[in-house]
Amino acid sequence: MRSAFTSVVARDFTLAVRQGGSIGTAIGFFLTVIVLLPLGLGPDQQLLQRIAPGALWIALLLSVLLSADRLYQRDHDDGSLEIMALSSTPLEVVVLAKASVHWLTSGLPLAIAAPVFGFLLNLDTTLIVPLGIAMVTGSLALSLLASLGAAITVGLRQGGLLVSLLVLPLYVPVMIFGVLASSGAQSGIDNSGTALIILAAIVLAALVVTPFASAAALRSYMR
Amino acid sequence: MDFSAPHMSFVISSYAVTFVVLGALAVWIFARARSVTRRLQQLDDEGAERRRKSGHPQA
Amino acid sequence: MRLQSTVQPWVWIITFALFGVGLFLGLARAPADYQQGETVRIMYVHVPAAWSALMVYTVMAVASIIGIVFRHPLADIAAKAAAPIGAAFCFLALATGSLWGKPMWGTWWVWDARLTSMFVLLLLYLGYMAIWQAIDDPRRASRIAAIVAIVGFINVPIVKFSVDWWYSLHQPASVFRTDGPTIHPSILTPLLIMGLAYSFLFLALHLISIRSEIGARRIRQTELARTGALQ
Repeated sequence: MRSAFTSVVARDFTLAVRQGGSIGTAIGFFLTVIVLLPLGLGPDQQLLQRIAPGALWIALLLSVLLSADRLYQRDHDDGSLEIMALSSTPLEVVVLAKASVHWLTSGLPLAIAAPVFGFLLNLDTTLIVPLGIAMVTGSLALSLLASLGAAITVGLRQGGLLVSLLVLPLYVPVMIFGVLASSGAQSGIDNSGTALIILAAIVLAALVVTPFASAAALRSYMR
Repeated sequence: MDFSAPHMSFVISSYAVTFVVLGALAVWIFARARSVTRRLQQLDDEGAERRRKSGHPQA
Repeated sequence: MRLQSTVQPWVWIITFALFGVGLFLGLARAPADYQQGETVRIMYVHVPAAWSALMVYTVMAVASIIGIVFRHPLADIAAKAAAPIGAAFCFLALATGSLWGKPMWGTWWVWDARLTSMFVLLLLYLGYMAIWQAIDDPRRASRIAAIVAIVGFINVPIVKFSVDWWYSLHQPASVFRTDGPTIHPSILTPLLIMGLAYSFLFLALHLISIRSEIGARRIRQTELARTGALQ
């Protein structure tokens, strides 16, 4: 079972890296949001510092969502998903592997890059480490939930809009606790420790629920 | 109830919007129920007609 | 079906009676609030709408669970039929809340914890209905929609919890408290009656919707069978 997991991860990761598109697109989109923001809001350094953690989280969320709808698309179209479903490996494991690859190719690189891009928004330097930790943790939940959205809409022609509509309510708690965990004492009292623990709990809940829900959705598309 | 009280227009509009939305919902649900019943009746008649013509009353 | 046609007139009579009594008590008998004046009367349509929006979502989620576990088509149909009614209640809760907020808070929309979680609930309803719209095959649609409803049901308390937390951190200094002093019976009674009235209205509309949905499936099957016979 473990080898099936790793082989799916290896296969998808190789595909993603060889094609090259996904990581580049995610970072490019992320950078676009970060650059456009000060241009729209004005160059006030204090304002930018205050909104920097939230802005970085918004950029992360949008970039993860951007790559979400094609998570299963190709494997569904060419039938390899059905072969995976017919094999002895539970579909839940395949789902988990695919969500991990999505995290490795979009969430994780962005979470590492975000504190660096934070300089463009005058991010408080003491927040770099908490922001990085919160983003690495939170993006795991984002990828899992995105994979659920992608699984639910995989057989549909216009899945893109539906993915955003379905995933947005699920992203609300991640967003709230992610920003709280990475903004330190900015809003008065420092709740970042508690927020990070709750964020981790949300990740665990997503880890339990999404593979089963996604696998059930994929199965009903295959019948 | 005092109709000259301040903000009375907000009270009236909130009751109005409730009435309109719930009314529209009920009209929509009734209209759908009617169209479904009518179509079922139509299909029933057509089926009876076809069976009578082809001479297979039990088909 | 036969049971339904005997029950239905009674449900409608009870619904109208409850609305009559509730509106009479709320608009004519209940006193105006000493702080909010007549504006407090918006509560008699706002709070029951919010309650019923939550109740209908619960009904939908429970029906979805039954549908996905026992594969009973009636449960799927019940869940599907509940969604538009719940969405309408949810929309009304937001609209009347907004109309209440304008004179009390000074703005149409506040990112208040309750408003925000209600808004998320509306998104869940819309997503659920969009799934039914997007998938043609009813059996497949019911499975996918049930997954959406159940995941959303797990999500609602988490959203409520997180939004409460978030709002308590960002709360503006002076804000009108919705949970004021304990509610006097002269206000509580019409509120509860209106809540019951909304529940019975849901029941009445839900029963009709379920019947139409069953009929619509029979039409679909007949038409499919006929096109198959023609070929």
